[in-house]
Parts: sequence; structure tokens; C-alpha cells
Amino acid sequence: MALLQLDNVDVFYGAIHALRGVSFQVGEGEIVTLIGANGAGKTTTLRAVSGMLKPATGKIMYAGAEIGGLKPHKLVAQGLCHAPEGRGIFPNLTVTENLRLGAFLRRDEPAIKADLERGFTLFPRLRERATQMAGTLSGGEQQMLAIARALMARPRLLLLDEPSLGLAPQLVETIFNTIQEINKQGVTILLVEQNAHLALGIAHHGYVLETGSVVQTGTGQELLKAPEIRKAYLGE
Amino acid sequence: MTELLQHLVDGISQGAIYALIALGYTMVYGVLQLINFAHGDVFMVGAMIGYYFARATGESSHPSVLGALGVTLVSMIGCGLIGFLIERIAYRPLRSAPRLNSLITAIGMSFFLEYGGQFAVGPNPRSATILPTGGAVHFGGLSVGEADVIIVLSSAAMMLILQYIVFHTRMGTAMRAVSWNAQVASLMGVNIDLVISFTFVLGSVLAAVAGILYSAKYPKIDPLMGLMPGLKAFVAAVLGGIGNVPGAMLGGLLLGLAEQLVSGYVSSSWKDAVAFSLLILILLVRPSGLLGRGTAEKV
Amino acid sequence: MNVARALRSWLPFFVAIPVLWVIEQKVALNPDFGLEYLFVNINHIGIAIILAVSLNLVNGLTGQFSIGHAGFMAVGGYVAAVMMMRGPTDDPYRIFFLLSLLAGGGAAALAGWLVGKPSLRLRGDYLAIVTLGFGEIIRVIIENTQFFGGAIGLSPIPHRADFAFIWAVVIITILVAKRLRDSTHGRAFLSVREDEVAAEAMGIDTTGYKVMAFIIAAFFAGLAGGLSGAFEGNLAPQSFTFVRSFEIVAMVVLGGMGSITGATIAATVLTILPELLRGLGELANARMVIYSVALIVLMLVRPRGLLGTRELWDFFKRKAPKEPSPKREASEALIDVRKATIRFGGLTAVSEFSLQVKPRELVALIGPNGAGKTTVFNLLTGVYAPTEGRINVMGRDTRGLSPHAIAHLGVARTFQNIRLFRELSAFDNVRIACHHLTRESMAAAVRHGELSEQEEAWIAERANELLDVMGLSARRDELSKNLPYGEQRRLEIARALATGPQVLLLDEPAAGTNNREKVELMQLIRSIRDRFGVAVVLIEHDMKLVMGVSERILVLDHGVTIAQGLPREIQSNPRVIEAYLGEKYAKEHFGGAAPA
Repeated sequence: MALLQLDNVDVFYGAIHALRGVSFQVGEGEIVTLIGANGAGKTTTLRAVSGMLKPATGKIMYAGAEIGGLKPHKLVAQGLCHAPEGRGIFPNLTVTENLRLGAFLRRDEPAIKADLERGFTLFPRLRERATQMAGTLSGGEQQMLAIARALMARPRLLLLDEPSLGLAPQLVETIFNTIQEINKQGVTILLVEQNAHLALGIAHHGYVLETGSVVQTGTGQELLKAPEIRKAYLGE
Repeated sequence: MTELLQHLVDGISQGAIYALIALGYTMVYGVLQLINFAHGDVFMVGAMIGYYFARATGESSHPSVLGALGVTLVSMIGCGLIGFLIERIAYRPLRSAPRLNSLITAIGMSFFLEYGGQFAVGPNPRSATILPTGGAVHFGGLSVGEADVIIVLSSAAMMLILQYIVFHTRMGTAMRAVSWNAQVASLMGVNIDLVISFTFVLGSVLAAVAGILYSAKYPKIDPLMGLMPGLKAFVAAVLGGIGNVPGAMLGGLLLGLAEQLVSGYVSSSWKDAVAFSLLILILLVRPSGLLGRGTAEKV
Repeated sequence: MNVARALRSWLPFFVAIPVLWVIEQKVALNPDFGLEYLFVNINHIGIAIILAVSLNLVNGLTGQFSIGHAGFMAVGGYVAAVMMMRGPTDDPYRIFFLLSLLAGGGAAALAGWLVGKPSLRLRGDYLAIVTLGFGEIIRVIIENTQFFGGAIGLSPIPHRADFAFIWAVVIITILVAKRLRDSTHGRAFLSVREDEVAAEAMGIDTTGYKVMAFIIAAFFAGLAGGLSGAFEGNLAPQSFTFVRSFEIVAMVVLGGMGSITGATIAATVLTILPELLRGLGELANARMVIYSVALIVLMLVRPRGLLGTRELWDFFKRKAPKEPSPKREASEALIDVRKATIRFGGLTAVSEFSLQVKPRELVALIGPNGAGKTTVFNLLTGVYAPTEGRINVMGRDTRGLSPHAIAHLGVARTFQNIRLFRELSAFDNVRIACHHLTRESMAAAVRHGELSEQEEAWIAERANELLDVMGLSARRDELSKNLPYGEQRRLEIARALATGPQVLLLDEPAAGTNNREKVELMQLIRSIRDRFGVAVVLIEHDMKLVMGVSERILVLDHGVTIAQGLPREIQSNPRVIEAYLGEKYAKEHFGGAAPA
């Protein structure tokens, strides 16, 4: 049974039909990526999964239970964490304070400290800036912070929204390597990316979204080789 | 010189009460971006509950510190409940509606408490005796009333407790997170509805204490007594930067001092104008307040 | 001025005066009828109507939250009262009284300008607070000034106003409000309420309109104050607290924000209610309790008030059209951007952007998410000012120009997230965009001047034509928020075209549309260019659309223009491919490093 399963999900923003009958699944331990052009509905999908949006129809199943319409804070408690588009860090808190906020629901102080240490090991740059205000970090460092913060909740399923957005190429590569590392440590990952090539390079499975519907699926490697990808992005 | 000190003492005492009320306004604005016009009336309800409970238990005939604490506790509980109900009934359903609607229901709630109060207990003022005050301490020519001492000490204690709650507890952290970015906060496990309810209850509790303390210095209480202090406390919150907790404390104190100084050295009848002049000045010169910061709209 | 026309437009008023006079003399003041008490109430209602209808202009029509209206009433009332008390004791034809009233209104209007000008740039909540503060300051000043009678107030004020005078002013207030609202200026007010950003982009001077609403409303509140003083015979500052302001706000809200009819009905009901309940003795206080509960319940259940924005009347007759708008010269480059850069804090959103748009060109701006494309649009339309570089529109440097001024120059846009005036019909959305092309003044609108009638007709015809071209004629009177998504997008384009632009900026017009709609959109864009002679600059993510429609493409990445050229050049440009799909992809498909 898949860790996350969407069945025929429709989501509306007012009159806009943003997701039309979207179905896909994420197996435990996998990296699955949703790719597609801007406005295709990738971020909307993540928001529906994490509870920020309520699906109009369809089912969202997480660990065997239906979660459609549940509020986000309930899902965090079940190990479903979302690092949102735009990173959403708190600029007037320090790096460490931001990280600790990620562990908001936890009370086991020694384990929290251990996880902080793990986060710093994963992202050494953050250790250097531990006491700095998060607002002074560069875009790439903020992205690292956002991911590390999401990890502080010890998620079973991690939703990542466009981690490469606005980042310099070298940093992007670092982050994607780290994502793979996190996955190897046991976290299932649902990744939304505009940079299809990078995303497909690390994903086990991929789904291509176009105007709110899934138009193609396959393993990461299969999709990478498909000529349709270039067509979808550059309209040949 | 002693005259100046006297004004300063009175100013701090008055300012402390403003600060307690202002905190409620500012916390609610922080998490909901809503001006809770009904807050000043919760202050009035606090004083009223105190009055009736004190009479019922005989506290008003034989005021004691312990008795006063008991009365205050009951008032705090009562107001906390009222604050909780106001949010649930008048504001929560309108969370996704345009902000104007909530402002109107806030005004409606304010009227409801004021006129409901007049309807229930009549408009006539009563004389409240809750705290054992009346005496005064003298330093040279300076006369510091017992009431003032109690007011300043109690307010300081409440503000310290609030400071602790907001900056050193999980709920306080949650409140601050919601005030910065409610959506992101919920993604980290913060239960937004719970935080908002808590904020209202907290603010109302402080207003109750302010009501009891106010009645120690100005024993005449009536259902419309919350209007002016409420409005002025609101000005204090804006002065300090609405949404900013230390700002509300600072604003309250500054307003109290400014009012006393103007009252003492210019004329007491212009006291009311001080608050509004300060308000207009700060909004035109620095709308985000002394300790606040601004936001912009995305196109 | 056409005498016959002026007479016709003011006819209702001229007929009403003698009728009112007769009623006052023969009925109201006649002791035999014993209707004195009734008429006292009727007069109170009249004053409430003036207050509510005037506040409706600010709160309801223009959407600005003002809660200090009682303050303006006080200013007008006191100025008029002082004049009357110090003026001639005999005033048989009420001429001096009329002067005093107008002086009061004028003083209140001045106060409205003083309050409005600096405050109207503040956000909603803050504006409410400032108006509250001003109202209170006025009251405190009055209370402390002996000249105004201090806390005790002014009395006796000569009783110069009664039924006739009060209700004459009521009729004027309603007439002025109605005519303003029905004119193109009225739609301009509404656009400010609905969406200020979009209104500016359509050429409406939003700040100017807000201040104007304030001044007009304050004037009428001042008249109400003067009338009140002259009727009651006294004035006291306690009547002008913010509670009074709240009560007037309640009337506007209950009646329906923007509805003159609603404000009138609500004013009547809320003024009568305490009188009706008076018979219940002790339960008199219950009136306010019921009132406040009603307010809360209404907001929860029917947020737009009883009538919403609807009116009793909604019809017009039209005569032959005439085209008043001036022709524009076509210059070489309509838009000429030279190395525009904009930085936000430490982040450079757009770096050294250059673009020249020639007449009738079809240009596309593409690039990955966050590349700075909408920022470029915001620079072109004056929402942002560039940190460096120059932007010329129709040959003019746009530095320091507000968005509505740039719209006047001939640049129109649509928005990524669709910013229609949601509570207005499709027809009104388009008509508002025609506003800046008209020349009629508000005064002309109120007296139904000839120019104003002609311009209304011209606007209507123009709007109908545009709706036709966009295939939206059937939806003319539907509220824009109820239109299906694709039609909303087309309406936004129609609205932009109504401003009469030479350059049309479309921000992701295909977002959220399906394939069939995209094909139609491609044809639509081409036909717009052909029919209206406009240049089109397009931001889009859908490559099929971009490749199919554009003559020239610019590619942005991280704020930098990385490529510019013909569609097929862009399609096979390795740097572009790299930006969209990644460096590795480009390497694999093109081998070696991409050219610099």
C-alpha cells in the first residue's frame, strides 16, 4: 500500500478549476516528483495534501487513512510535513529558533537537540549561521533552513515545493544531493519542481501535470528520455 | 519638583491601566489583524463582575487583600469566557470575509455589551469597593495613594507574567508565529483556532484585572465606562505599534504620562485631546508605531 | 447653458419646494392637527437620511471606512449656529439662514479635505482609526472653547429650519447622490472600492476620488448639522461623540454598502425604532441591544447589507453618440526601456532590462518562475519605480508618474491573478475603463449637463462594442465574479482595451485555460492587434501559445535577459533550454557548454 494516494482529486480556487481529477501515489521510501509548467497545478496539489486547501471531490489517503480536508497542524502530528513555496521562514528569528519551531509539536528535548545536530551536519552552512537572523541568510541558505526545519518534525512524508526556485546552480546541486541523502535516511519525499531535469534525475517516479491533470507518468529515467518533456516545456 | 514627580506618579499609574487594556488590543491585532472594538467593554464587564461579586461576598464592606484577589480571579474567569465567546460568535465565522465585516461586528459587539449592560443593571453609576485602599504613603511633599501602589505593582506583575507567556512558553511562541505568518505556522503544527481563542482569553483576562484596578482609583463604575479608556488604550496600542506586545506597554505608559503632564501643566479639560492628537501624529508620521514595522501589498 | 435642459433636470426639485412648504405651513405647524410630535420624528428622520446618504458615498460607494462623520456634522452645525446667533435677529426669507447653512457645509467640506488628504493613503483599518480620532478631537475642541459654548453648548439658536427646509435638503442630497452614482464618476468611485490597483491601472486617480468623496460627504454632513441646530434650537458636543458616528455607520451598513435607497430606508427605520419602543417603557434600552444584535447577525448572514449595491432605479435613455476623445500620435517606439534595474533590499529582481516596443508588434516575455517578468510589467505601468535606468512611454519619461497617469499615456494591462471589479457587472467593468477618456465634471454629472449625457451614450456604445468583440454580449449584465474563468480573462482584456491603449500588456492570459481555449486565445490576440492597432506584450508560460502568437521573444532568468529573437531561434537556444530544463539537460542534448 502506498504511503500517499490521491484518487480523482478536484480543487477549486473560487471559480478556477485548478486540479481536475488528479490521481497518483507515493510509495514509502520513494522520491516522487511532480513536474510541469507554471500554473499546471503542482503547488496546488501539495497544498491539498498538506491541508492548506480542501479538495472539492476525490480522496487523499495517507498511511491508509483519509486526510482530505484535515487542518495542516493535525497532519504534522502524523508525520506529514510541507516546506512551502517561498520557503516561509521567519526572518526575525535566528536560524536555531526557526529550526526549533519546526519541532513545535515535540517535547523530547534531548532528541530535539540531537535532531538539531543532525540538521547542522546535513547543512554545515546553517551551523555557521546558527545564531544569525534568518532574514539575513541568502536565498539558498534560507532554502536549506526551510528543509532542515521541516525535518525537525521527524516527518515520514516530506513535501518539498520548488526547492530550486531562485537559487544559483551550484547551490541547487548541493540541495538535490541532500534531498537524496535525506531519502536514504528513510524519509519519503514528494517533490514539486519546475526544473524537470534535476527532479527526474533523483526521482523514482514522476508525474507530469498540465493544466490541472496528470498527462504522463513513468519512472524518473523513463521520463528523462522522453521527447514529450521538451515539448511540454518548450512547445515544439 | 514634587509637583512634577506627583504628575509622573499619576501618569505611570494611569498608564499602567492603559497598558493592560492595550495589550489585549495589540495581541488580537497581531494574530487576526482585527481591531476588537469590543475590548474596552470587556474591561467594563471586568469591573462590573468585580463590583457584584464583592458585594455578594461581603468583600465591599470589609475589603481585604485576599478577598480582592478572590474577586479578581472570578472576574478574570468571567471575562476570559466572554472574550472566548465574542471571538467564536462574532469573528470566527467572518475569518475569510472582507475585513470590513469584522470591524462592523466588532462595533456591534461593543454596542451589545454597553447597552446590554445598561439594560441589565441600569445606567446609573455605582460605587465599587473591592480593594483595601484609601490610605496614602508620603515622601516629603509627594503623596502616593495606596491605590496607585497596588495598581503599579499589580500591572507590573501581570505584564511580567505576560512577557513570560509570550516569550518563554510554547503557546507564546505559537502566538508569535501566527502573528508573523499564520499559514506557515499551521504547517509546523500550530493549531491556529486554538491560538486565536487563547489570545482572546488572555487579552480579556488582562482587561478584567485592569477593570478591577481602575475601580480602586475611580470607584464610580457604569456600563459606559469602557468607552473612553478603551479608545485611549487603543490609541496607546497604535502608538507603540499595533501587534507589538512591548509596544503596547510602552504606548500605554507614554500616553498616561502625556495625559497627566498636559492635565497638570496646561488644563485638565484638554486631557482627552492628548490621546487623539498623539494618534493622528503617529499615524501621519510613522504609521507602524514606535516599535512596529510595516507591510506592503503584492501586485 | 441650455435653459430648457437645466429646467428639466432640476424640475423634481422645483416642484417639491412649494409642496413641502404647503405641508409645513398647513399641516405640520397647524395646532389643530396636533401632529407636532409626528413631524418632530419626520424631521429627525430627514436629518438621519442626509447623514446616512452622505456617508454612503464614502463608506459604501468608495469603500473607505470612515467612522468620524459626526465630527463633520459638528463642524457644520457649530459654524452655522454661531453665524445665526450673531447675525440679524430677523430673517423672514431665510436668506441669512441659507448663507449660514452653506458656510457650515463649506467649513465641514474644508475639514473633510484637511482630514482626507493626508489620511487617505493609509490602509483601511488605519483610516478608520484616524477618522475616529479626528471626530473626537473636534468634539474635545468644541467642549473646551467658550466661543462654541463649551460643554454646555450653544443656545438658543433661532428656529429657522423646519419640515420644508430639512426635507428640501434631503431631496437635494438624494438627487446629487443618485446622479453622481449613475454617472461615470460614480463608477469611478465604485472601482476604487472594488480594486484600487486595477482602478489605477485603468486610469482612475484613486487618491483624488477618495478625497473628493470625503469632501462631498463632509459638506452634506455639515448641512445636516446646521439644520439640526436650527431645528432643535440648541447644539451640544455630547451629540457628536463617536457613538453617533457609529450609529450613522450602522445605517449605511444595514442599508447595504453603496445603496442610496438602502441607506435611506435604514436611516428611517433606525430613527423610528426607539420611538416605537418608547411605548414599551423599560424596554427602551432594549432597542439598542436589539439594534446591536441585528448588526452582528446581519454581518454574519448578509454581509452586503439589506440591499447590497442595488437601487430602486436602474434605467436610462440614450441619444445619438458623439466621440469626444482626442486622437493620439503614433510615435516610433511606443515603449522604450533602457537598462532598467530594480532592487528590493539586497535582491536584484530585474537587471539592466531593455526593450523597445513598436506599434502593432506582438512581443512575448518568457522565463522560469521568479524570473522577474511581472516585475517588468509593474515597472512599465508605474507600480514600481526603477532603481536605475530609464523607462519611456510614448516618448515621456515615466519617472514619478503614478499608474493612472501612465494608463492615460496609452498603456493598459491585465493581471496574473485577474483583478476584475468583482461586484460589478461586465458592462460596468468595461465602462469604468472608459472613464479617463471623458471630460465631464462631477457638477455636470449632477445637473445632467449636455456633455454628460453625450458622454454616457458614447461610453455605453463603446462598452457594448468591446463586449461584442470579446464574445461577452450575452453576459453584459452579469456580475463579473459569476462569470466562468475563461470569460473573466476575456473580460479583463476587454476592460483593458476600453482605456484606448496603444500598448496592451497581458500577464499570463492563458493561465488556467484548457487547450481549446488557448487556441481561441491565440486567434483573439491576433485579431485584437489587427482590429485595434495595438502592440501586445505578453507574459506566458504556455510555449505553444507563445510560439504561435509572438513575432519576437525575450527570455528572462533571475532578472537577466538571456536571449532575444525570433520564436524558432529561442526554441533551439541552448541557454534558454538550460534555464528551463537544467544545465545537465542542455549538455546532454547539445553537448559541451552553452554559449555565453
